[in-house]
Amino acid sequence: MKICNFCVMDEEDSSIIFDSNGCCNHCSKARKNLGIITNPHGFEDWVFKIISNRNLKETYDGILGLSGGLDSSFALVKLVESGIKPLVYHVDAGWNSPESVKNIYNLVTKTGVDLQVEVIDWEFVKELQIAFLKSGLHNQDIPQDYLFLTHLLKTADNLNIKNIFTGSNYATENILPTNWGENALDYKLILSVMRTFGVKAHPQLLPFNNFNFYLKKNILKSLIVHEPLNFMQYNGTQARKYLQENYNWQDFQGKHTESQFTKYFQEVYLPVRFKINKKKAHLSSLIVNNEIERATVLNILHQKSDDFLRNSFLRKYIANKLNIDLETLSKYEAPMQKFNARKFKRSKIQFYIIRFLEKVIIMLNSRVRRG
Amino acid sequence: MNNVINDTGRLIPCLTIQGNKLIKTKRFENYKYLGDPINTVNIFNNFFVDELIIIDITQNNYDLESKLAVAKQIANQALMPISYGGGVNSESMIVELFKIGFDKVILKKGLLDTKLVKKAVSLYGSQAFTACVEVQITQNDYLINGIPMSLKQAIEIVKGYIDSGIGEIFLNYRDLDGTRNGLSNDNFISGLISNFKIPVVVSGGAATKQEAEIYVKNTPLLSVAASSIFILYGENDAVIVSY
Repeated sequence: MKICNFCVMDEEDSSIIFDSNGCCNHCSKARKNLGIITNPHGFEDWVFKIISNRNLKETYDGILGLSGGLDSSFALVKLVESGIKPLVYHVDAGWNSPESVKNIYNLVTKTGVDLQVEVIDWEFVKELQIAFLKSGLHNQDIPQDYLFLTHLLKTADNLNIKNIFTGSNYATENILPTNWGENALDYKLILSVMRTFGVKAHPQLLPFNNFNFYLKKNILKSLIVHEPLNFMQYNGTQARKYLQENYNWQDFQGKHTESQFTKYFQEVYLPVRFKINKKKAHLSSLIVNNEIERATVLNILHQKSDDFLRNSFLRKYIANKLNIDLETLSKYEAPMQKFNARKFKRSKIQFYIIRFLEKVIIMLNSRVRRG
Repeated sequence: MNNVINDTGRLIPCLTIQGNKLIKTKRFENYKYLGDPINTVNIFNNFFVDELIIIDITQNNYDLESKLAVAKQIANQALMPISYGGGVNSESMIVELFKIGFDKVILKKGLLDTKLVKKAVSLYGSQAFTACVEVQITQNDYLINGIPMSLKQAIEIVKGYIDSGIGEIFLNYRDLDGTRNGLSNDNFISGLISNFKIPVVVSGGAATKQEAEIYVKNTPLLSVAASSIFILYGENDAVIVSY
């Protein structure tokens, strides 16, 4: 199997293309975009802009979704340390790992920010998740991701909050093949899966329209999504150390594993069913970000360690929580090389148009900077 | 959190469930949905809590089988000693609860059946049973399980439970439930401890963890059961587990 000379992406991703130097399309693109999308020295200016545009009548400068994971935790402390007052918002979809809960509690008590938590009806999450497992789709994280973002936006809307702060960042998330999973913000797809497997509508499943969101965000500017970590030289390794030393922050095994389900999804479901190893993309991102040596990553990937044992414990937990037996869970994980998702309706055209518009914006931005 | 020498009482998170939903009550009425008990128990596992109490307040459509199914899922998840209370009134249910992994059973209505209590204690021992006593304080007197009486009579009632073999008393201050107005410090509690030297768990009204810690300090027989201080945070009553 061919592997990239610069990062560790390989032909397990069927869409990978190598150039004459043996470098793949993913890291070539990421290395080019890193300097365009991120600005290592822009944070102070950004903070100044937020604070000087502050509406004194409002209690909060914006809303920040906090999962308890590395990126959102670091975004929170950076905001608060700079004098920004966010409302911290968390959606509990029933999968929080103990570490993430400890982190959220420690962070909000130490920073003194206000916290709001939306607890989603577990019976609904469970049914929706089982329907997704039955669907066999790649992206099993859709139920959680969708609930997180839609509830955050609803709360922002209810409280008249215009600024959305997120922990998203290009530095540590610059590689992710698009064919590895369906878009998480696809209301049509969720409804289609629900209809196929007989999941009833639920008041906590909020409708979401990507066009409206895009309009509000980019044209009407009634909603501004800020990615503060893109305004600094964000480095996950250093951020982790900083949080551990100053906020008693607890580390996780792996990226995005603040949710037990995401951990299962990335470490068991995707590798077993689709031979997709998201770790490769996460670690490749860190290579591009100069956080880790390629040789070290290759070592990490070769270690078999105690993954098997840990995963069998995790699978038991997932099955017990979803109230299904391990055999049923195995059925959902059955290896599948080529998967046809066409039986479910999706908002594909919307996403094509939005992706095209985003590309145009990135191009325009890069011209402005070069000029 | 406890010292090994046990010179202090315990702080026990107390989870109320209705069906398979974890809820928070205020004076046992209007409630807030807290999520799924399984994940919450798993989080408490990681806080290394000494003990956990599960109170099932499901009333409508009383269906023992599904009640026990939920209890079993919780017991499977819990790594700490756990107690179960709520509608336990038969020997078969007690046997089943111990079988699925509970360490202690809290009795309330079941206490009226002295034969049942004696049989259960002979099977599992005194340490496995707690008597739940509902306490309300009126101007001069007490309402115990809704019945007006003097302090002396209240203590007499508890003496009856102890005589039938119960090993621990759970005092449920109904009017304080979910209020965070502070724990009760009345003579009933001190009376029980000094008269009977029996472990007493006080529930209802704990305002902060600090208050609860001070409350049980130097009194090994006195423990606090609480939920708000372990599950809710801040002005918005944000649902987040801590210990």
